Amino acid sequence: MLNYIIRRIILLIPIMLGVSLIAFSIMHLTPEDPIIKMLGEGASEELVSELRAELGLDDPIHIQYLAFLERFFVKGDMGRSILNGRPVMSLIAGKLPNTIILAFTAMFIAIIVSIPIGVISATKPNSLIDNLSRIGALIGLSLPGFWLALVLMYLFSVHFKLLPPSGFYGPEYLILPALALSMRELAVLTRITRSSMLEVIKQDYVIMARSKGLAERSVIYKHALRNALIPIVTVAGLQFGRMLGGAFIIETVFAFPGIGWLTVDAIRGFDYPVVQASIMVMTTAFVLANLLVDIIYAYLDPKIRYDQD
Amino acid sequence: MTNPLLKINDLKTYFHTYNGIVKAVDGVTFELGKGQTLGIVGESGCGKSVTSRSILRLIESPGKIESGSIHYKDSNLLTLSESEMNSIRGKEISLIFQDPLTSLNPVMKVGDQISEAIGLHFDMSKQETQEKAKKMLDLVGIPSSEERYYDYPFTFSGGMRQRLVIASALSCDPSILIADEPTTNLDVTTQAQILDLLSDLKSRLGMSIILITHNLGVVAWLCEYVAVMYAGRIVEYGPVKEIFKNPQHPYTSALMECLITSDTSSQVDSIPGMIPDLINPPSGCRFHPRCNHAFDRCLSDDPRLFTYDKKRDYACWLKE
Amino acid sequence: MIKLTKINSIFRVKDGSELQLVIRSIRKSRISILGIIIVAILILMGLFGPLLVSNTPYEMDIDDRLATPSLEAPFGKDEFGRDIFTRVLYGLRISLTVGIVVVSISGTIGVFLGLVAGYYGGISDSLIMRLTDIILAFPGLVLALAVAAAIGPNIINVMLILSFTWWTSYARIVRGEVLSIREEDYVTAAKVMGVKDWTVTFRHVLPNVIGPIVVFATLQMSYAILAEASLSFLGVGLRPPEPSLGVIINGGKEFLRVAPHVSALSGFVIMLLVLGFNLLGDGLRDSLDPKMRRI
Repeated sequence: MLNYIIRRIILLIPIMLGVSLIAFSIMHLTPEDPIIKMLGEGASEELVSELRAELGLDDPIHIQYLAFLERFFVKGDMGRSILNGRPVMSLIAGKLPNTIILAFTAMFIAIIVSIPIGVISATKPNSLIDNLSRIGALIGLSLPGFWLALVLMYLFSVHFKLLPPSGFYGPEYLILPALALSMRELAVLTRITRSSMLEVIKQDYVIMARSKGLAERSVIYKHALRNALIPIVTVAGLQFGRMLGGAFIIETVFAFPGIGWLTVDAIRGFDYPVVQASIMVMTTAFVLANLLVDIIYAYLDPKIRYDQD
Repeated sequence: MTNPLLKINDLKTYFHTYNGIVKAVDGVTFELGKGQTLGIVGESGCGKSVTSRSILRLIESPGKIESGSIHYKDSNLLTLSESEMNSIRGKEISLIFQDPLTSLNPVMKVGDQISEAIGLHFDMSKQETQEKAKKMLDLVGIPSSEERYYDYPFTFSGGMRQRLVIASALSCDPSILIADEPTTNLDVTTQAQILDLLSDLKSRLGMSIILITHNLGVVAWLCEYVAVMYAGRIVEYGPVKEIFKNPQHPYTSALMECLITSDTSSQVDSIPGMIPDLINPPSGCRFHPRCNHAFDRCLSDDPRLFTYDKKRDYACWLKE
Repeated sequence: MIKLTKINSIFRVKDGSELQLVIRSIRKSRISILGIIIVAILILMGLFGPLLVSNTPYEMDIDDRLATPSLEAPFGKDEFGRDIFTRVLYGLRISLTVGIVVVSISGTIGVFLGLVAGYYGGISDSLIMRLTDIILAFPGLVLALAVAAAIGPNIINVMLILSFTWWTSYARIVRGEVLSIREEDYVTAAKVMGVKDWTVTFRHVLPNVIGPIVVFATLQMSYAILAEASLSFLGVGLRPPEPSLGVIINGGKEFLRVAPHVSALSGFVIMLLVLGFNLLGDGLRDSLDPKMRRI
């Protein structure tokens, strides 16, 4: 298994290089001068050249890129935010944990609901629960995240005034954003639990287990689900990683102080140092999450875990 | 037969599919005595597997056991509750499948899969069940059972895995072992080994075996009685020696002919024609479209099993 | 002598009758039919709707701001007094256009790159696969968001960005098929006889690959529609006064308390459209799966 992990880690290097190249060049994609974009039209000559020097924009492009790599991976200092002057990395460090908490909560909700429903759906095909959950999952997949967020906000904050609509000053502020964020994962996980279980239930070893005289409950949970979980866990892990970067729409709607909202604001305000840094952070987190999923998968599948090659 | 261990009477198992009702088992009757080995032969799709699963009531929707009775010792298995059935499964009657590669749970240690059944049916400590499981591994010829108990299925070859499956099935000392094509997916050498094992276990443990196969050679080797199935029905039934010497039903004769003329382990692809559609079976005798001896009565009347010689039954109008 | 087959085995069918089987099973699948109906209705509305309504999507009527739905304005009016129903019809057109363009371009790029990667192998394969990994390392719409903001938010840019980052699945599908075909004996046999590689690969890859590609394309339509709406909602896709469905929802979000219908109804339309394509994609996937086609 160690070999397997090492190989995956080595593959990360070209990926991160490519990612950093793209993140770096975002600033240079604009047709206009990035400095002007950041500071606005009325900025003084002095300010412009100061910033240009600070960001090293006068150096040849490859030097800039290397400096960028060094700043992120070695020094951990990505400069200051144009919008509010605070150090970029400390801004991110303040917001990232919030997004992680949000993603965890959403994933938790999704898993708790979807796996039991998926199992029931698979073991009682064409029952009411099965049909309802399949339709529900399809609808859940089709809902635009931001729209669902607005609907939830309207229902619970505006109309019934039960929950706060924005910010993050206590656990109750997590509920609506986590609900909105979990919807898509709920739908995906229910479907994949159902299809994975359906596949596994047909397998010979499940029938063998029954032929030994095991109670149906044991057959389903001890034999079927344990095998069905492998693809489910993989997908869940990938979705979690995705949530870290993809929560920005929900965060923006609920003004939730996470890294997503920070990024959107920075993008809208042309705050390039923040944009570059947060893209790097989100992508790194996603890539690491994928790696973790690969490791978990290797652990769950005995063939890979014990493979001595 | 006096005091049969298992007595199946007019068993019907149908599958209710989108295209119609598939009459997979349509009135099957036979008996199994203590210590006897019965072979059930027939082409793919004739209903032999469904019969074996019906005995243990392992039929899932859209399949349903419609009618009939399955008497084991004193009870009719079809009237038992699910939990009563669970004490029969694995303990009194066991089942093994043809594909050893998929019959074992890939994420569970092989030893645990064997001791699982033991722990279920007997009141033993964990230590004791493990000991018994290891003894089973020895019994079926798995070397280094002490260490191999803790291995996963993927570390075993196909033949070894089939032995593991047999170990698991016999772990609780069942009276009847149903072996559904246990050697079909194995290479010829391994086939021979497994058959040897079964023969050995048979004499050592004295259990009854229902051996399902499409290979007449296997039947000749292991079984005392044979039932020939076609299109969900038994068309000939009796002692192996008699039937091989003197088959009465045209289908059985055709099968025998194939055995003689071809060298391959399966002779099913030598009988002209297609297996019948079990949703709309042919009228009258189901074999008549492919039968060389068919005459008008065969098209209209469905033959029941006749007794011939007081020793065996067959279902054909020819020799009435 | 005819080879006997099990009742429940897969029958080998020629390519021609394969299509018939697929169509027959689509007709049997109620899910596909529902999806087709929904999508067809919405497409028709998007195509011809704008021609049938009398007002333009930009006409303002400030006195009538945020009017609730009525007979003349079935969806009510937005914050500038514009008729929402009209704007939604034009918005449908925008969504569908984005979807079709993105699917076409990314499909073409993806299939081409997949063929190259699978056929030529070696360095081109590694390069293309690494490129795929890099693109897929960006979670969700982050990349699209950033690039859109940088190069300017308008519909063309949105379509281009999505097209150039979403070709990866097509490439994977095609590459996988090419790789598995290459190993087949009949390919080696053909090569020995002198048939050009390209022809063999092409002829055998295409029929097997069309199914998954069509299924994915259908689902990608729904992703594209959601992506455009999301980006426009955030202000980096289309911008007001363009009647993109995302723009409409964004416009209404300030007025949730007094006029929820502005955001609610247009969002509902997006949901229906996406649901239609999802149903269609699901139905197609089931119809094209050989295991579902027998009995």
